[in-house]
Amino acid sequence: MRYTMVIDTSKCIGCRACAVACKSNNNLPDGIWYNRVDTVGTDEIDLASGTYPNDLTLGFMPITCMHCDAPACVAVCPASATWKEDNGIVVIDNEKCIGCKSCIAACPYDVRHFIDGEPKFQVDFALGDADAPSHKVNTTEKCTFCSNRLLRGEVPACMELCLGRCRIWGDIDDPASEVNAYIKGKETFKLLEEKGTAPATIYIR
Amino acid sequence: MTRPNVMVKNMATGVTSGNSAMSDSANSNVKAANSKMRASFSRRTFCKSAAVATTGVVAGSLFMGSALAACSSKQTNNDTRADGTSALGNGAGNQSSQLEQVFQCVCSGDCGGSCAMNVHVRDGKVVKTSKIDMPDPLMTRICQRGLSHAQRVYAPERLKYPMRRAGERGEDKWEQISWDEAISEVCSHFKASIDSYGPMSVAFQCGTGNSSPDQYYNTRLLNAIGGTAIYPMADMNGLYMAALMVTRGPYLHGGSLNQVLKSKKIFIWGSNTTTSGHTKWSYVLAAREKGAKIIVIDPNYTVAASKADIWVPLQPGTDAALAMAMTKVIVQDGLADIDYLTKGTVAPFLVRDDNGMFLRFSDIGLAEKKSGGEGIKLDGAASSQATQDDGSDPIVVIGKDGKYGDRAKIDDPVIEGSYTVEGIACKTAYTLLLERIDEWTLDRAAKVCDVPADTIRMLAHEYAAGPTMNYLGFGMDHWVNGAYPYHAIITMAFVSGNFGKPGASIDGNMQGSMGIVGVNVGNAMAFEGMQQGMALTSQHLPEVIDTGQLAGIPLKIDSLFVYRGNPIAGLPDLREYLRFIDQLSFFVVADSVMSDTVKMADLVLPVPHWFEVEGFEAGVLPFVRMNEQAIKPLYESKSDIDICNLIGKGMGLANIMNMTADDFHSACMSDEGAAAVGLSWQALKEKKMIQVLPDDYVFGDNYTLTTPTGKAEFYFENIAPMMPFGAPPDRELLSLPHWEAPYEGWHENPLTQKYPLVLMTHRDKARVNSMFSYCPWLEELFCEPTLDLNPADAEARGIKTGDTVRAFNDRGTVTMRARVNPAVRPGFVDTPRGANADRYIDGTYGSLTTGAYNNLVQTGGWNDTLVQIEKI
Repeated sequence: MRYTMVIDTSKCIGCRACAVACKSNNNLPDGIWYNRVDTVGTDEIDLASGTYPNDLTLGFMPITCMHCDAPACVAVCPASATWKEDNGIVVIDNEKCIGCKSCIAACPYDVRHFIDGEPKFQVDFALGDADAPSHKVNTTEKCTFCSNRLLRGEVPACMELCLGRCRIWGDIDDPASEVNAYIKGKETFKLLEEKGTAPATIYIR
Repeated sequence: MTRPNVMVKNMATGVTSGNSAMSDSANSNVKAANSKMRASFSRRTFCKSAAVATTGVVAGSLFMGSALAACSSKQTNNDTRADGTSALGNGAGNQSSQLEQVFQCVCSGDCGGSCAMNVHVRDGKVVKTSKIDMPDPLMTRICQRGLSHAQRVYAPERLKYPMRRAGERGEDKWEQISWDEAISEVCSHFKASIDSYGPMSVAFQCGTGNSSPDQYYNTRLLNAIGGTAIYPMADMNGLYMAALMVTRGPYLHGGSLNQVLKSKKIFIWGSNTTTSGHTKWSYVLAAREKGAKIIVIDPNYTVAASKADIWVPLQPGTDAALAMAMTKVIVQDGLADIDYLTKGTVAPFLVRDDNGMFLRFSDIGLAEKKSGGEGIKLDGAASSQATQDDGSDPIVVIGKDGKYGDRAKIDDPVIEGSYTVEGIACKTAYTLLLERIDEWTLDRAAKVCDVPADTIRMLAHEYAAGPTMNYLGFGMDHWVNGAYPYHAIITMAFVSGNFGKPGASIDGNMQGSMGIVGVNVGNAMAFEGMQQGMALTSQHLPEVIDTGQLAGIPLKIDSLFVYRGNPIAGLPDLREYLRFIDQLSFFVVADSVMSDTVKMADLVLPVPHWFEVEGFEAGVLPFVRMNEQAIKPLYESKSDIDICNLIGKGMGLANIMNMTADDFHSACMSDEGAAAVGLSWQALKEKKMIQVLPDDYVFGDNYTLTTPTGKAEFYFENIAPMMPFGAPPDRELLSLPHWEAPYEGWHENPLTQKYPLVLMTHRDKARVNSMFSYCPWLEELFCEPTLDLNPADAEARGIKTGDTVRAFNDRGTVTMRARVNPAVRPGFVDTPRGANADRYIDGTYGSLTTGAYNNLVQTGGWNDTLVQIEKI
């Protein structure tokens, strides 16, 4: 069994509801976003590429941990603080993490985040899910695939409210799963496969 | 936002609706109401009687727009149903865990969504919002803003206690005072203004910062005082034109959201629906998966354009010309829907050559207006089939047999031709339409719109091969000529038979556009001996302060109460509005957060976040939705209703301002219209959501509307302006679709020599107007407001992405970060609207925009603004 996210970029409207849902439910500290939505071809938000009017593109790439099958982060961790679970989720134990940042350097997707100093929040009480992950000074953290929510029978926060309905989630090893049904016959791709990380997240063009 | 039945955006102070306020019969009489308003807008006394309500109230609904007041408790024959009281939601106070309570609240912003959502509370604190599963999964929604409420509730910029200005206006220096002091100060200033200048010198201005119907309790207070209502006119062009043409919509009343699943074509005009209608975009996607083609007509390459099958870039402000040329193609190529035109529209009605009025029985001596057929004068009418017997004065049509008579009695009238009836030369309304659009050849439209002729022809054929859904955005609305595109496009919908049918309608830019059924705030607002003062728009304020009158009525506005709004960050021509503020003796603002407007106040009254008070929302979706109180009002904030009662008491009006929130909400859903749909305050509290419109709702079906003619109107015999001030609109010119160049933002305007770029705006993903302005999560995601310009215009000025640039004209200046964006049409620049001044490097966007308005619909024309840009 391997939990896998399918993201249909043809439907993504760049609203970032996924990013805010993730931020809220996981009570993420200021400046930390497990989920981001890049605008294709630019570091700016929602900036088109090309020439007006006949050669324009505007596309979005929702990006979070790819929960790789050959995770570069796991390979370099000197503290055995990160590993891939049997269910496909790459996890970090922030009790074991020594904050060396080698995993951040190794990950080609820029989806691991270092809690540099005491984590800061806008309010002095915990927002989000009661069982949201803890955020520990001088450790690295990232998308947990909302394991806490999965245990309760809920879906990952990022896909729950996707306004473009572009996220599908399930067990890629189950031929009858929704993810396998959705990708059938569609043109799919994975991000930076050449890095040898065998990313699990499947994108649809 | 909720939209009034007839018009006026979301708001409203002032005139009141009495009972049955927006009954369909009342709201159908738009024109009648206008002329009545014209005659007697100054001061009237209403009492809570149905008879008065049907006259006064229409005017009230027109200008004070309550979505709710507007909404009839009765249903038209179109508004079938409503057995349906389906309880939804997760239920108040359900314990999802031992520590966490979940309440159903409603996000009441001006995006038009009013989405119900779960609000999770732990240890007395709001910790998150989450979705409520709707019966139709496509309707399940919260957006990025709705997910950020925990930050808004506990925002640092929350207003915590009443404050008195301690420095100059706008200096942002404050002194904390008690509620007793605050209310006493408000009342003494109001009284002083009234003593000096009369009751109308106290003005209320409601914004769109909270769509809950509690705002109408402020209206009750205003009417108790007899003060002046100032409408912040925005987005009214489409509303007003659609109200004239089909009585409702497009923002208030399309069909149900799922109608688009039956569409073959979705024409999106002037709307980046993925951002401004993002919570209903799921329906567009589902329609696309079923094979619908999406056509986006927009000068800029928006996200919606990027998702479209066809994107049509055009010269901004020319949509009306495009629609007329498309209509001409539809007619010439035999694609007009003659059946719909005949049965559903004014097409067959005869219009007199001499005066442009419909030919009526009374014109030809046939209307003695007796019932039962008696007294009908048939002299000289040998060929007439006239048998009108209901005391009406029917409009004349011509039968296929050449005989003339009453539309109701002639099943299959002709829709084209010139006829002389009893010596009076006439043409059918459809023939007049064909004459009007005749000048809109493909070549002419191609030049005006900068769209190739072949493309226009292709679009016309796509459009006619429906069912076609129109999403009519505000991009067209925000121009001085912004009423005309709606007239032309909706006319094209009629001509091609794309109205009042499954999958074929006019819909708006909002997150849903269903009308409000079962709720009647008129009941709750009205009281014995109600006084109605003046009603005007913010666009009229310069005239009022310069001349001391409006339409000959002496008027001095001396005290101003702004609530639920931030006009200084939102209205066009900030300079003029600040001039108005400057001459006030007293300016009080009620808000939950600090804003540009609050900073200018003399006195500030803190109100709670939406989740801190109990209430409800109606409209947009087919459900009336309970808003539970998730937590108590924070700090010293008090609800709008409590504030109004305190001011009422202080003004000696406690006999009128004496309703509790529970009383008010009960009164909103206490009549037979509410009962007919199983709605009552008690039932809503129990069920959380009550369905009042059917799942499959088609507006305007069965060829029936509640317009004055009972038909879809593309021809206006005597068009009335929205507000009866100033020069009347050109009756003949505006009787039919029309285009004229934008007022300022037009490439042939000589002013382009000095200011060569047109400044357009869009709604961005962080803010709704100025709401959500300081939400840290959203600011972190979406950055500060930027000014986007085409690479050609950027290069000519040496501007690169990231540069600081200044946009300026004779009215004002703003400085912000530039981005070189090829999505922006050359010659135009684009910036988000709604940011407070402190989010710009210098100046404000609002200082640049024109205050010019069209006297047909006196609404904001922000986009009609020329600027020059320079690198700093």
